[in-house]
Amino acid sequence: MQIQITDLNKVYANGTHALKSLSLTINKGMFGLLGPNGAGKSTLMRTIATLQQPTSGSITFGDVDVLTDPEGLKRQLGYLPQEFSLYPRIDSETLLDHFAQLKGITNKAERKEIVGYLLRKTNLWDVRKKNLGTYSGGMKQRFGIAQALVGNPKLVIVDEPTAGLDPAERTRFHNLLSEIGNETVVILSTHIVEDVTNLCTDMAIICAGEVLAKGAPQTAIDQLAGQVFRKAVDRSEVEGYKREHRLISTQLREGRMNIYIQSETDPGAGFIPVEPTLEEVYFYHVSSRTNIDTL
Amino acid sequence: MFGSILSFELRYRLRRPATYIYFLLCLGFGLIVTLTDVARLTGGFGKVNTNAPFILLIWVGYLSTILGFFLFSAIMAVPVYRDFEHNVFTFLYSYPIKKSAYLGGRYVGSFLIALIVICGFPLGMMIGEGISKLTGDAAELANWGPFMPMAYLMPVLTVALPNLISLGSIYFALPTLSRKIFFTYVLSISVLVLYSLSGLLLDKLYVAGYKTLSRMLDPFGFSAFGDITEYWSIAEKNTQIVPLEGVFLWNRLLWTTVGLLVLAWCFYRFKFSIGGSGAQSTKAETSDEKAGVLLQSFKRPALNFGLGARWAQFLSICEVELKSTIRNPFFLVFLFAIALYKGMDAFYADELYGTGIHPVTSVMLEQFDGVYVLLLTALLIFLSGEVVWRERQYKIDQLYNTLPVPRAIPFLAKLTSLMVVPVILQLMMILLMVLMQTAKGYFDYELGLYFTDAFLNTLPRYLLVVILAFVVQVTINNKFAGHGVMLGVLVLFTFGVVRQLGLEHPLWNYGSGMSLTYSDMDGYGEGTWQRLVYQTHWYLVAALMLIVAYLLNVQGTLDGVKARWLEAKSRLAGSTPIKLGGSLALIACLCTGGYIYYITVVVDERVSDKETELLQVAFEQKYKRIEKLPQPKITDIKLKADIYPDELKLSIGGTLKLVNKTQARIDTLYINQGANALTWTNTFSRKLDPVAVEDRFQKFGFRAYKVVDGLEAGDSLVLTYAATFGQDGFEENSLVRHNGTFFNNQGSMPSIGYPGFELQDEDKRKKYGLAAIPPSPPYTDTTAIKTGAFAADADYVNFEIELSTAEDQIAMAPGYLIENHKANGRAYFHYRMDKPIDNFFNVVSARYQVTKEVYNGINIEVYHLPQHSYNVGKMISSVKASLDYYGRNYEPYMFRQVRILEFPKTGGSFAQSFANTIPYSESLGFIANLADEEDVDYVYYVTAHEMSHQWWGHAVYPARVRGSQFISETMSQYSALMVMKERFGIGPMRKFLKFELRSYLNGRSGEKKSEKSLLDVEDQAYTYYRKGSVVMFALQDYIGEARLNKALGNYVRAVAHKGPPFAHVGQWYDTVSAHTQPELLPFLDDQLRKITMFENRVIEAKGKVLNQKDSTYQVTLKVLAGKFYADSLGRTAEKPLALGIPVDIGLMLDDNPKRASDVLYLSKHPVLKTDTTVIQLNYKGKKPVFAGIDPINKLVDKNSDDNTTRIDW
Repeated sequence: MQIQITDLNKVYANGTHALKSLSLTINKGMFGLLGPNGAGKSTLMRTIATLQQPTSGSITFGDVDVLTDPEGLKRQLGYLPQEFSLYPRIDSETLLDHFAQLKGITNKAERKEIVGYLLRKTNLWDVRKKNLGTYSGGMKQRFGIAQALVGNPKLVIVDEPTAGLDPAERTRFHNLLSEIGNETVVILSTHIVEDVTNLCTDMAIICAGEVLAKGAPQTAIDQLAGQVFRKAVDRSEVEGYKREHRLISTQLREGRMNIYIQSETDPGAGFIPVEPTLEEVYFYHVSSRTNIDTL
Repeated sequence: MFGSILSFELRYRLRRPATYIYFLLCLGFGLIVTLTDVARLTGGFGKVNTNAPFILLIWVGYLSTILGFFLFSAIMAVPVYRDFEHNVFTFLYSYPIKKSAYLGGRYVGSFLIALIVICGFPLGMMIGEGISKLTGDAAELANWGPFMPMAYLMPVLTVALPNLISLGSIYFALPTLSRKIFFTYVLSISVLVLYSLSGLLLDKLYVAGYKTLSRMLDPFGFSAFGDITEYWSIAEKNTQIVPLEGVFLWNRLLWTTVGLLVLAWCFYRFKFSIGGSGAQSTKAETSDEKAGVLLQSFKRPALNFGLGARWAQFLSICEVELKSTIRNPFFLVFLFAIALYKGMDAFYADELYGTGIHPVTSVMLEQFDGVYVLLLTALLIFLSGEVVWRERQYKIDQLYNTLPVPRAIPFLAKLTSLMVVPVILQLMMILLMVLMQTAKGYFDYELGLYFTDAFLNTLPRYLLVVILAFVVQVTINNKFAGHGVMLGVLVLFTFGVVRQLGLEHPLWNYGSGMSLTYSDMDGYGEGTWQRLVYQTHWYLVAALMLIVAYLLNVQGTLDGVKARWLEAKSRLAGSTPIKLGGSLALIACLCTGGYIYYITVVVDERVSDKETELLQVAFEQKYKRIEKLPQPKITDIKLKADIYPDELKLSIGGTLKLVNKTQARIDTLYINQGANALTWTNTFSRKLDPVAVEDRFQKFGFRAYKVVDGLEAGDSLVLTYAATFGQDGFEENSLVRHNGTFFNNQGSMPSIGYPGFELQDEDKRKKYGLAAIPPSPPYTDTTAIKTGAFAADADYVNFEIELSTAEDQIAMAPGYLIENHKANGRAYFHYRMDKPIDNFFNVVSARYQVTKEVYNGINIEVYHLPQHSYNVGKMISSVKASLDYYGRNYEPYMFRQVRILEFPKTGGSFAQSFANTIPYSESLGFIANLADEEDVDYVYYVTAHEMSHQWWGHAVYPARVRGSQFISETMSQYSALMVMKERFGIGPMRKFLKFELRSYLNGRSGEKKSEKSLLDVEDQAYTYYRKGSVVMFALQDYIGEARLNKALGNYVRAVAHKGPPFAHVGQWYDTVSAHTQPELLPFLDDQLRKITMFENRVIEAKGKVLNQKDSTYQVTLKVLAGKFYADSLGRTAEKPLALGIPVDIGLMLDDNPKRASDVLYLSKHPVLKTDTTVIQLNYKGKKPVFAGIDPINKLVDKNSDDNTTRIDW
């Protein structure tokens, strides 16, 4: 099973070109999607989830042509959008059961079992009889995860799933994802670069509707090994360094402004080599497209 | 700080397009009201100016209230809520703002905007007035009075402003404190429902005597000013500005105070807190479970997408939707309101003179219509918005849209869940109606009929509303715009605007022709085929709309109209079932539509209102000249009619002898035959040649014949006609019903001469350039008094008729039964009159139970439905009492039989007196509940009234001149009052007279042309019925019953069975005044020849106990008494005139006496002056509680409520 995205374009009515001839192949396992706000991540995910139509291009999932047979995809899909709410006057068990039914689980016993399993798994079992209107943000998010997983999805798309979760909840969610990631395609969109490093076997960085990099996170990190340097500088000097070097980010360390640059050779002049992480990879790629905020 | 918040609020509002839209909406409404005919729809026009202060108060006040429900909530609910909605409050509330400045600034800012917006309405009307006056022609200008700025300003100050304070404050306070906008919706609809409810409730309170209370409780002050203007004449309406005084003032003060108190409470309770939304996160969370154990249980469930699974998905969505609907507090509020309203309405159903009915199921079924439909429609509009938008509203749509469910399933499931709502309501209504029947002690529940009617007759209409509302929501794709569109549709159809626009064919009217009225006698009548055709047609239309909506249904994120259109096209292209089903539905729909068009236009030859008007105008212009031409009169009628109730067929024909009673030769004969007949032939005993008549005039039955040799004075000819009637289209053209046929000579027998097919509406006559209809001629017109009031083409006729009908029915017409038999499954009846009667007869046929009694040689027979036998005994005893009283005082009864015949309510709700034959509607008296002795026995009364017509109308046959209705109707009112007084005493009469007085004053207030005195009365029913009762009761009270009856007896004996010339008010007045005490002659003149309004008032009453032991008391009254003469527009002098007659002074136990014993003392005292008169009474007996002048309203008193007062001891 793999998702094959070919030459995907999306132009909104207001002229925004959100996806530009984007092509990607996503295999079984956890796939991380990284990119700044407005990069087109959500547009891409919504398009894969059949929630909106692209202007051109094609998407296939296994044998299913997603654009002509949306239902074929939906039968295998679990989707957790970035923003959603729930009916306030209904309890979580009823609603999850309802969703399970709509997802095609017609056997009542099986439905009961999977609903019970997911409610326990997302730690909602004790409050399953409570109306969703009384749930906190984290609880709603967990319910969202439960509904995405109900019904045996072969493709799971989760958009910023851990926003609003406390660290323990986040860990539990990661465990759950990696558990299903063994036999499923899981697309995880996030801002937290560290999550991708920890969880994903594959990833892509997109910016301004284009794929800037793709591959295994570790490969990407290795490719940048020995090329990242940092230096503590004065704020007023940043512009000067920007002209002379390939500046990838600026960060504060112990209250001082540090600049990070990429260079194939040691630039000297007080620059200290840095062991790159995925964060540096991310900044390296994104900085090629956007103006770095120099604070 | 207040200033800056206020100015921010104003600037914010002035930058919002909504503000301008609201203002333009009001302005536009104002313009439309004045520039179109809409304003004149309110009635009360005619000579009332379009810009009369009274009319302006109604329009400005009423519309500012109705629009206010929506505008005030839209404007006043949001100023603080806005901060919650956009989460601005999270930081704003940390600023150092003062609560009073924050709330005050926002409130005042919005208040000012709302006030300006609502002022758009009077402003629009002012502009409209200006435009009309500048551009209008003379006819148009006549409708306008001088411009009065105060007339526009006052309603704003007295109605709109206080309502804005009260309603606006509540709208402001609720979302501000609750931080939820939802309550505002609940509130605005509750206010609407409660307001419509309160009308009914307050009216009951009013009737029950809690007048002030009921007026005070009206939150919008409408009934309060209604009290001031209730009996205003045309002149007063045109010139007087409704003053803010009395209950109106107090009402406005009360509700303004309520508003201010709510506002104060809001200021007091409001807190700048951030966590006040109430949603608390639940703390109870378990510790980490043992993941290992649970992991094993994550089995992969089987997925199923077969038909069974689809069905399960459908049901699951239905269930969720329905549960959400039922849990919606708004739905519950509505349900409760409908139950309350309809429960009360059903409990008081069909009350007449305060007397209730036996709540038979067919009457209860009427509750499934009217206000119920309006409330139900409003509910369905609201709910369809909720259902269609539920996912998007709760932002759960992205979850739903990725589910493997075909689009059609949620679409159909949502629709179905909505359709269940009216089903629930119908069931609730059935339960409610059965409860009401039980509460009134009626246990004959016809559950089968309830279910048939609720689910086959009315539900289909409501389901169509569901579909329309759903389709609109889906297609418009904006909830509030959707509501707006539906509201517009509702206004267009419910208030007849579509008809006003000329789109009056039923095919323009979505959902028309779908429900029928159920009659106990005739069931659903002949309309069931028509109903089926219309139901099929509208469901096909609905199906097509659903298909379009389905194609345009937005799912996911679709970008703009173009994308939706493209998507719809591809959906259509991709679905064979839709293409196929849609084409089939379209073809079928065109077929049913075409069929309906064919039936209505070709078969029924339906003409529009406008076409009828034009036809009337053309006919009058061409043939008005024949009105005065000599024509022969009918002298002998011999008919034969065969009624086929099963086939809804009638064949009727016979011979009419026509005699030239004039002195002139007649060359042309004009005949009006039944326009709806299938076939009609006329043959003559002499040679007559048809004269060409335009087709369009022939269509309504007009024919002309040339009498070849001329019909000389005294000559006669015999007209033989044969006609058939049948049900060939949808219109009820057959004259026959399955059970309960009832028709009269009009349309079934030819009439002779000018048909009088004239446009009556004066405004329209003016528009078409026709002269105003002249008043009827006076009795001094010696030619006019030679024509009878009921038929111009005959004086008296000899009458004979042979009838046949189905074997199980009885057919009847005036006359004595001389033969009847049954043969070949048919029943035959032959009737003949032994005396000439006026040319006015009826034919009935139905399955009857007959109750007979012989009284002094006269057969009294009541023909009725077996289950409607409640009041048959009452009717018979009233007939007997009438025979006694009228026989004793006027002259012996001229016939040997009286027959009362029940007919279906689909034929009307009245009783009518033909010679010895009285058809009586099933809904008028047969089911009245007369168990309570204190209630007005209107069955006894109506029967006595109709009986009286045998004397006043038939024996005394009035001429076609002014005052003819005085002879027939006023005298019958009087006669019936006397029969009632003899039976029940004076006690219940007061209640009755009070109803009559109120009806008169109301009717007079609604007069469009000019009011007439009783003796000059023309078609003013409020005068000849209502005023007639009051005036005649006073006359017999002053003159004396015996003395008056002696005069009437003399009159009857002098004029009965004579003519031409026929009876008229000239002789009547002469005879009565000859018997009247000379000192009462001016009073007689005041009562009959003038429009006299009395104004009697008690200022105070002081009591003194003279001797406790032997119960002697002294009461001193200060009273004012006077009378005014009003002209035909109701103008009166400033100062009253002295009464000129003594007037009742009374002492009573009860303000509103119910029994004769409640009146302790009642005697006439002279009150000579118009300024304060002091009257001292010494009284021995029970201690009186109330005292008053004319305390039981024998005189026509403009304000009858200030005649009594509590005695101050």
